[in-house]
Amino acid sequence: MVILSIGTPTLVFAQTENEANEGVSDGEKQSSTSTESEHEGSTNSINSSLILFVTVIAIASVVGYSTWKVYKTKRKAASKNLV
Amino acid sequence: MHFFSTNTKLKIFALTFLLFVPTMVFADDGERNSTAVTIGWIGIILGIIANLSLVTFKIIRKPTIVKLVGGYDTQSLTPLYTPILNFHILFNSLGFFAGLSHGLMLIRGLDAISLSLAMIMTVSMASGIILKYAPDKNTKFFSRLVHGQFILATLLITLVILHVLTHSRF
Repeated sequence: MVILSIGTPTLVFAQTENEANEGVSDGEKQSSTSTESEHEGSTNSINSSLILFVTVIAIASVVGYSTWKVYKTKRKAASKNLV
Repeated sequence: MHFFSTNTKLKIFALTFLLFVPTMVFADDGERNSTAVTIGWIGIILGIIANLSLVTFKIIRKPTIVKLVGGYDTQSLTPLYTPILNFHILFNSLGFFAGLSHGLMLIRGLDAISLSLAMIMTVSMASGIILKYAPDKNTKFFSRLVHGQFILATLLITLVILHVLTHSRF
């Protein structure tokens, strides 16, 4: 863990620098976009939003279900104590 | 003659494996496989090893499997649970931090799949930490429920596959 936590920031900075340099040279080579690629982009955007939405709903439902289950168990224990 | 206990052997294995991580990362100097990509793959491999070991152990402990295979009983496997659980925690922590480093390095390529994957990984990691260290019984129960949900595990596997498919250049 210590090795990773020390080594990671160095690697992050090195990689970011490399990518920044690559990004500059790639940007110069880019050509103009067509209508077909725009259509593909919008479909991808819908799919991406759907994936993100499903993930958020899944996390929320798991947290909600777990909370409800804990609450139910707590209430059951409290009612048992009363009797 | 026993020189080391099972727990010590596991620690030695994990430490030796850790020594190889930087080697594996720096050995890859190709244009297609950058350092960040290699760290991502290491994260995936560590996650697979960490989770498969615990899942396999839990499966072979089931009475139906013991009856089917035979030759051992569930009681004989009980002492192995703690070392396997520690192995699961250690490798998953390493996998999580490797994934985190990978994500930070390639932050500009962030998309919905990667973000969803990061969210699921964080929820699983957080619930795992709470499960391990929470002193309160109710909090422990809550984190056990969150950590062991089948839907989260399925989503994690699906997102890892989607992430690899969308980002790899085969």
